[in-house]
Amino acid sequence: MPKDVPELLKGTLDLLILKTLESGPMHGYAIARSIEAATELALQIEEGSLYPALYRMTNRGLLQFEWGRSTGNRRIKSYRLTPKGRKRLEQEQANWGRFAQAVARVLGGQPA
Amino acid sequence: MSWATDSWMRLRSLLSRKERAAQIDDELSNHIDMLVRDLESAGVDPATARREARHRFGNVRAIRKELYRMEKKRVEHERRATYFDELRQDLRYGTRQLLRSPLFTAIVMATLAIGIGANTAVFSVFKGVFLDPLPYDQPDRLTYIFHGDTDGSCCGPLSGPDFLDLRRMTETFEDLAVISSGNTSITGDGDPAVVLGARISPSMFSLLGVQPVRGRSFVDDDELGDGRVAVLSDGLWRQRLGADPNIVGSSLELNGEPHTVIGVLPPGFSVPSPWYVNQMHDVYVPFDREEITQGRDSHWLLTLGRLEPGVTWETGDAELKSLSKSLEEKYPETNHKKTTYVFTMHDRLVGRVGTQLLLILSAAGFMLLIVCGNVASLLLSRATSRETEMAIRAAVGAGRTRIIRQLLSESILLSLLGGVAGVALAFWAMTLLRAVIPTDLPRVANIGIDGTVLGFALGISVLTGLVFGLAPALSASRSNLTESLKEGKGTPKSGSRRNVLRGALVAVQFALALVLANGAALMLRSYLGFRGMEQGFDPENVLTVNVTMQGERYDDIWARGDFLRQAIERIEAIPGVIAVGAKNRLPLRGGTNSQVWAEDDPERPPSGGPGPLVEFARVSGDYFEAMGVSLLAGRYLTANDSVAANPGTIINEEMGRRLWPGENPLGKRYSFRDDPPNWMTVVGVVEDVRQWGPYMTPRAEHYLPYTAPGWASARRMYLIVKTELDPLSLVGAVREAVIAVDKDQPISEIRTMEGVLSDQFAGQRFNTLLVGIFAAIALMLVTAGVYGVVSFYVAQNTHEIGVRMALGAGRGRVVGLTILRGLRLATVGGVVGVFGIFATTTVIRSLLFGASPVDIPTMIGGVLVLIGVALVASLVPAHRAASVSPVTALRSG
Repeated sequence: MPKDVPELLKGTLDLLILKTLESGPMHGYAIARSIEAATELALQIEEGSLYPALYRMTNRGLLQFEWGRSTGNRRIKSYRLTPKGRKRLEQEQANWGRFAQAVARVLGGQPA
Repeated sequence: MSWATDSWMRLRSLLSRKERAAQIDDELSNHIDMLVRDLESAGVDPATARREARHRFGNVRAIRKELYRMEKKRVEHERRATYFDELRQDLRYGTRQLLRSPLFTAIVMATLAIGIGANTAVFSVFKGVFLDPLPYDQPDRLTYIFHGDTDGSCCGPLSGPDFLDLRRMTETFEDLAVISSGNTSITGDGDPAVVLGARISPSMFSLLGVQPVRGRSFVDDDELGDGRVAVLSDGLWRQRLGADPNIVGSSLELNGEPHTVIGVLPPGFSVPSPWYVNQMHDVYVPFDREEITQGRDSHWLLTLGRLEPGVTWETGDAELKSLSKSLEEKYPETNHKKTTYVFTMHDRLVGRVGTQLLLILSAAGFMLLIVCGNVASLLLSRATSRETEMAIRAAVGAGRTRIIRQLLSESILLSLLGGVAGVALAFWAMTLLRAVIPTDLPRVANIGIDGTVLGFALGISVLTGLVFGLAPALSASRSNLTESLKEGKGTPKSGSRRNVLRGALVAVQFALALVLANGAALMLRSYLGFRGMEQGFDPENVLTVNVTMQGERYDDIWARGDFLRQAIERIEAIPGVIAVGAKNRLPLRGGTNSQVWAEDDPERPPSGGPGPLVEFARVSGDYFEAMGVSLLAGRYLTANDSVAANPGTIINEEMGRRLWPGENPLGKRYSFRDDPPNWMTVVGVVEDVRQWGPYMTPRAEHYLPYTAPGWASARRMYLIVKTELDPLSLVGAVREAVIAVDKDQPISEIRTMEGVLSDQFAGQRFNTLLVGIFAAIALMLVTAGVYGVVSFYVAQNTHEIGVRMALGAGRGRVVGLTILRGLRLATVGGVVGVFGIFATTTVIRSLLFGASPVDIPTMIGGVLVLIGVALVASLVPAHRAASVSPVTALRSG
């Protein structure tokens, strides 16, 4: 793992997970790969830390899970958004947009 | 793929701990395996791929641990949420069910209210009297110490010298103190009044752990008796002395002597005496030293002891017995074969009555069980009509436990409602109970419905709900799903199975009711037996009043004798009075005793030595005629008997038997003192009177003329007036007659002997009344139970009955068959009940005051009553069965 990758901004992991699951149910590994692909390795994370986030979000009712079977007949746990999670995603996206705009305004003097 | 619903997720949450761990492990290892696989397919060699995967994943152990914790929290949360959710559902549903059948609900609630209310009320009495700790500091260390014979006869007061010796020698008791209670007159300001006063040894208050709230307690020097000091109760201070803040140091005239008030005790405090139950001592003075240092053979001091911390009363008892042994060796003349007995204060004050109350509580418990039976039976009959509902619930996935839980929630909801009604009923019952509670029930003022009692009510309500709800719930949950749905109504099969269960319930109820009714009948028999027993006197139209003869002028026994003679003469002159006499103690109310020796007893040691104990009575006037005590031989006392050199006395039969077995006691001489002997001559023999109450066999007793030498010629005497008509109508005239002799002599304790006698039975009457009520309710409940089961049987079998009738069975046969149904239940229940009676004999014994706990006629009577109940209860449904028209029955089937 490259050492110069920036620390994932605190709180952004949750947002990334929500965004990733927007398109449909996924298991943990797929979520990790999807985040990796979408961020083009820029936000590469220690993959294990994904799971506490998933569990926490499940407990808060943002995600649901189900056990299914993989093609190799292994038990696979998939996650999907709950309606509450979907709503949270919209909120967070809007927040993030405002935040990014504000930061950009400070840094660049005008909206991006 | 169906996504998790609420209930699906909740189902997950029931997973075991092991399964949870396995899931987490699966999830994490899947991730790592997939990562390895992807790396390998990208060309990394397996070993490196695995190392790289682990590195990229991070600290597996720490993550697993964290997930574990989170998952546990989630499961707990889910579980709780599910539980409360379902409970809420059940309660909402249950309430709806109850509202849907208001009559059913009302009947069940009323039945439960009776059962729970009765138990709550009795428990509040039991708790107030027995369970609550005595209101003294560390009450479990407090004891009473009694004097008694080494042969086991026990429980008299101690003598002063014995008390002082024991107190000096004991190592197991922290302290011993003595008290002697008696009426005390208060004169001076205001009207003269008679209160219960006590002389005590100075350490009594500190032994009980109480300090005066004003002023001080007694100190050892007060014992010398020249101080003339007194400590007052809070009640006396408030009521008679107007809560005078400067009371300490002021003077109060007690029994005609001025005393300095040195302290006032806290409210509600009184030195407890088993001989003055529920009476508060109002004034305490210390003993004179001479009073208790002399007279080793005069036993008059109630002794209290505080055990050293950690010492049991048994240890204390053993020590005092061995100390008594040494006293016996040292003072053989007075202490021969005498010893001491230690009892805990709690045991002595409330032990016996506590046992009785516990039994009454058990009787109420039996009744509650019968109530449970009835309610269960009602629920079972309802379960049949709710079978479809249960089947649908099962069909949509409710598990058996879930259905049981739902039905139990309904039951407990019902029983809680019944409990609320029951507590209301108990509050009401308490007001009734107070009217019949014996006034001599110890700690009667402490009885009330408080938090503990309400907690008890809540507890038995829940328990009751579980007991009566379990069988119906189990039965309903076992319904055959498909059959019920197909039928669309109760299936005959499950209906009949339920009826068997209901039958079993009714049989059990019969058994319980039989035990209860048998107990009640035995108690009633015992009560009537003692009530009808010869007491040795005739209580009809007898008035008794107490005179105290206080004041210096009555220091002289002859002055007192004169007063009594004059008062008796004046009362005799009142029209309507038949005979008048006086005695120092009323019959049934205890006495004082001493040892006597027959002059011609060959075993009497030359120096005197111990003899049999004899009750000492002092009489004046025509006592025996007034009290209706028959003279069996010899003559009544005359004025000369008291002044003769050897006073004439009257003895009872028992004393004749004890002192001169097989001989004519008339003319015999005996003495209670040996140095010099004061011989008394028997001039008459009267029948035995139960001096120590109706439950004690009469003791040897002798009657001395009031002024004859000797002791027990107390200032306190009872005037006994036999009248032609209602004795209470003469109270005014009697009072005037006494005042005409001495205007300062108030009369008190105005009673009829009927009343005195009735009081003696108050406890037994109370017990019998309560158990009788419970038994009566039990019988009614059983009647309802049988009626329900037989009616249900008829309703379920209308078809069969129709067939029978179509095939030629007569009405009589149908009625007979149906009644047989009820009788069968009664028979099974009766057999079980008889076993129950035998099983409970030992416990019921203490309620019977000596009557035998097994009485075959009573038992047979009980069984017959139950059979009668079954007959009556089956009659209506049987009649209904017989009026079934075969045509309708067959068609409807």
